[in-house]
Amino acid sequence: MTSRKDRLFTGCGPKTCCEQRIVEVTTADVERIATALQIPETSVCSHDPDTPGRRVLARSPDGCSFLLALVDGSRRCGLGDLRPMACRTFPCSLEQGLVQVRDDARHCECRAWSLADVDLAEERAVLEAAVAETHAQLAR
Amino acid sequence: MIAPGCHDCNGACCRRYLVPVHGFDLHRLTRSQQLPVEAFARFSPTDPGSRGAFRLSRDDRSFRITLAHRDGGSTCTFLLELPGGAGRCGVYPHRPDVCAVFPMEMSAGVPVVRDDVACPPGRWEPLDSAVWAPALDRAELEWRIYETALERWDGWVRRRAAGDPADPAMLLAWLADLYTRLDPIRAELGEAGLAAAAADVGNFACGELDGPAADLIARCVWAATGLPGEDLRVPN
Repeated sequence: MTSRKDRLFTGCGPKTCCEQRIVEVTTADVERIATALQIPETSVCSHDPDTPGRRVLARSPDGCSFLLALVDGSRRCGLGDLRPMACRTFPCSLEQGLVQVRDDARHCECRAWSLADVDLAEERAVLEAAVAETHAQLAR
Repeated sequence: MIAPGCHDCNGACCRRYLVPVHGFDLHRLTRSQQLPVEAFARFSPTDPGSRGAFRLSRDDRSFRITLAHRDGGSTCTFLLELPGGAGRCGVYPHRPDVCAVFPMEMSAGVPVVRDDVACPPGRWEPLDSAVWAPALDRAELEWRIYETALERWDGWVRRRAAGDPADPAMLLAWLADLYTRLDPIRAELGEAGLAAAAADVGNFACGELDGPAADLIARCVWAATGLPGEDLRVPN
């Protein structure tokens, strides 16, 4: 059974966040995507020229490279369940250990997200997994 | 996981073919992507009697449903074109059956390599057709369910007045309703039951009408809701 958040995300046609935001990826994200799709890491992400060591999801002039633009003008994520942790945790973050809606997601162009859109236990699990991936990366 | 012959491919097949889809392909894509059929598929003219062909009016013009191409070209609407030239399917876990069994197809009940493969020569050799048979049988079963449903649709269209063509949106709505009604039938049969029907589909194709494939296809087609004014007497 898909969660309410997943249904809202999948069904969002404008996908403004995928068009406008720069998505930071973890080493685990890149390895997961490159392995599953059998593509080189250079097709998945690029180095952020402003911040050494930071990698961001590949982009085209139209936004995220993995964004599908369909014939009726709507958009969909071409990565589905493979999408990076930063995308999977959106619109939430952990603040002082609490699951919160990110400030920049309260004013999303497509939707004003609130905690009513997410399953708190599920969200916490994804957020903690994302933190673990970041820690693992720092420890390397 | 990407098929072994496709790991270093940039999607030649996704840039060249017009991809025909059956009703269950549409059902999977509309559900998984939360998209209306119109967002990703088209009605394309085709030969009467060809795979997935149906009519919208009493004349002989036939259509089939295919995946839409991007910007009037021949690139599939679901192809991701990535930096470095890599091409990958953006709906891979939900892709249509003809894509999932590519480069194979069923010809007179036998798995064969298509004669129009876009791949480099030798890419699929040696090819063990036994490995592909279960997926090809499942695809064939879905095509037969779809085509049998379309026979019912065509019969209804033929009985309409000459100047009163059917609305394409009505066909899509009827198919969406039908495939939603098939979900519980699929759940009841389970993987084993569906595999048994698929393994029997060659017999159905040869006119065997009391095997598991024929039973399932009949159940599926008559699960559909009646079309306006349709004669709903079930055969037998």
